[in-house]
Amino acid sequence: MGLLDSLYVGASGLAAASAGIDATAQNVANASTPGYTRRSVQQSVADPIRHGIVQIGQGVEVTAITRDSANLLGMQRIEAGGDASAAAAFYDALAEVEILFDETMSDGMRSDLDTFFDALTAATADPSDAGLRGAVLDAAEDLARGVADTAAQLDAAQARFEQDIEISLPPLNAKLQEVALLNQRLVSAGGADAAPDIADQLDRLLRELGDEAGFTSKIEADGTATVMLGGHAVVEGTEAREISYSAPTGVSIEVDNGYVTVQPGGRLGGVAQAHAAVDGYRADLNTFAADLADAVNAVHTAGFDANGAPGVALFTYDPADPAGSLAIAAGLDADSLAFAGATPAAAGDADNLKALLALEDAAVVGGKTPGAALSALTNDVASDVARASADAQRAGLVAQDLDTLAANLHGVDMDEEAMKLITFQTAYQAAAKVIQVTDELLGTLMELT
Amino acid sequence: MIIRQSPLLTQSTTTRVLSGLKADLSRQTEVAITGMEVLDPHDAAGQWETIHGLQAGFDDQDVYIGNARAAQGILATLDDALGGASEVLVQALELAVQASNEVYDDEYRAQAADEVDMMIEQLVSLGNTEYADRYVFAGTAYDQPAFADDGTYLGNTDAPTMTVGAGVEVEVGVIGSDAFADALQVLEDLAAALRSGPGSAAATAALLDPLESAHDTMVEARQEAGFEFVDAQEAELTAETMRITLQDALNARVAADPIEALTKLSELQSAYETALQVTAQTSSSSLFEYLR
Repeated sequence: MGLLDSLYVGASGLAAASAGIDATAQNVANASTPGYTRRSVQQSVADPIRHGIVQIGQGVEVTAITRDSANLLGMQRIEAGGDASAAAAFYDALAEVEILFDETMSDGMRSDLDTFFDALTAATADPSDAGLRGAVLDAAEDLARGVADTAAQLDAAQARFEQDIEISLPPLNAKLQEVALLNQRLVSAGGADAAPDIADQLDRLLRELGDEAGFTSKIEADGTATVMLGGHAVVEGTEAREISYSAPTGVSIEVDNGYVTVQPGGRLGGVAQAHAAVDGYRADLNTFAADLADAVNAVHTAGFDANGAPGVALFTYDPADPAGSLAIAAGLDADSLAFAGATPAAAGDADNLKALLALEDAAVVGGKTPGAALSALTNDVASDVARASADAQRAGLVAQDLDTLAANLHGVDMDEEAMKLITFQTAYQAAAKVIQVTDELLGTLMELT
Repeated sequence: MIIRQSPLLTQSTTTRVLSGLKADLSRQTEVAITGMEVLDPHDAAGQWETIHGLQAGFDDQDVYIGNARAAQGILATLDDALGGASEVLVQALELAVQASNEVYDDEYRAQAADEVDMMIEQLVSLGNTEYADRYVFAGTAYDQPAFADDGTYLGNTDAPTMTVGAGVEVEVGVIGSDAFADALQVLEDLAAALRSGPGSAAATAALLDPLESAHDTMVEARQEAGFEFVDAQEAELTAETMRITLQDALNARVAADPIEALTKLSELQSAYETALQVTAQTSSSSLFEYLR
């Protein structure tokens, strides 16, 4: 081995150390970049040259700059992230609806119902008293308005959920197109190892798609990603399918022979789940409104009003939307309340008033008393929110654990990078020293000649 | 295995921890300010039937108390009126006893008959006793006088009631025809007997038993009203006791213990401040800092 060989060996050391410093610089620069995967320099001994019976070393060579990623963990993170987003979105959406059933300050439908029956109880003191009769009518009106307002606000929440899903789809479709494009660029570049920056972008997109709508993905041998939703491929190679939404059908994917409806996950799945839950609350509220109105009307029409006329229906509603349309019958006044059991009505005849009052303890709403039916509805909402909160915390912890694991595997640790920097700096200085010494030796040799 | 801590993970972990602590702190502040442990429905998931039941029961007691007091007012008025009517009948009885004695002449009997007429007027007036525009002897037809001037009963025979507790009612009226009809009839008979001339003493004497019977009826009616009054008083007392009991039961489920709430708040404040300090320290500590 000659001195010139030593120069080349020193130069290869300089190049390897320089590549290491470059990779470290890239890692440090992107330490806080979401989706970035740590780069590592892969180096090996350069092939030696045989010189007679002696093999002469040719220094070091950089074989690759790799991404320290694990595909299996990446897929797990995408799924866990989707689950966490779904749970969090479900909780957030329901927490918004829960406010409608907040009766902790004695202000809500249940309170209105109690006030209605309290007004009836108070009216037993003097069924002919205009003030007490007026209070009953006011309480009935407040109850009807309270139910209708709650129904309207549930409908408004539903509309917001639907709008949220609708406006989320165009950016999602754009991301799916972007995945298809990145797949194409990856194939052109020769795979993930050859184009780590593109692979990083793809990872970030896949995670965002998982978080947003629960898309799952599979990394193929050529580094491209296949994106799935509900068992259907939405991105395959360089092809992306469009997803769309229409209420009440839901989210669908365009396939060769039409559309197929799928259940999204992630944030959109959480919102869709909240939509379904609110459908249930709305149906229960409809049952409450219709059954209560029917029960009250049946009793009320059996009595006689202050003028001795037969009672008329107290509540009206549209059978297509009982809760949303619940109201006091038009034209009723305090005298119209049919408290008397006979005609001509005596001032203190409270027979029918007592029959109305008895409804408070009668199982007239889906087999429950009116109060119990409303309490059951509040309990349903409260239990759903409590469960959603627990699920969101649990799913968040799973995602957090996987993030920690991922950080260990392919995150950037500043201490590690600092140590690598020192190592590469020392290697660079040593290689430079080798070149300097070799240069001096060559100089000495030149002076001799 | 190498344990790596990327700045990104540190940032997301500290953000998550701090935001969790901040949410807890915010909730605990609200608990301490409002004194309520149940701030949202999900804080008492599964308990709303009980909580609503307690709230409804608590509100009911106010109505029961109001009704019980109104009932007592009516029943006290009834008691006064029936007491007055009893006295009238006692006077009538004394007068009848005297008039049944042959010693008294026709002139005295004529004067006595006039007195009896006045007693009839008194009874009619007592029978039309009002409490807050309510004729208390008219049955459920209490918006009009119970008796016409000639003593004819105008009311009905349905006793008005008031709800003063869960499933508890008190009668807040005495049927005028039951209490006064016999008395008015016997007084009219007495006046007629006193004006009947010869033999009137015997006719008057024959009315002593009916007079006593009418008096007994009046006393019985007064007793009945008295029992109802006691029931109304007991109902008021029960409602007031229930109010306190239900409030305590409600507080046990939804209210926060002030000392516990403030202690928790203080603990959370310390935890939050500590977390901020730890965040500040960990985000600046790395080998790069050391090498600088």
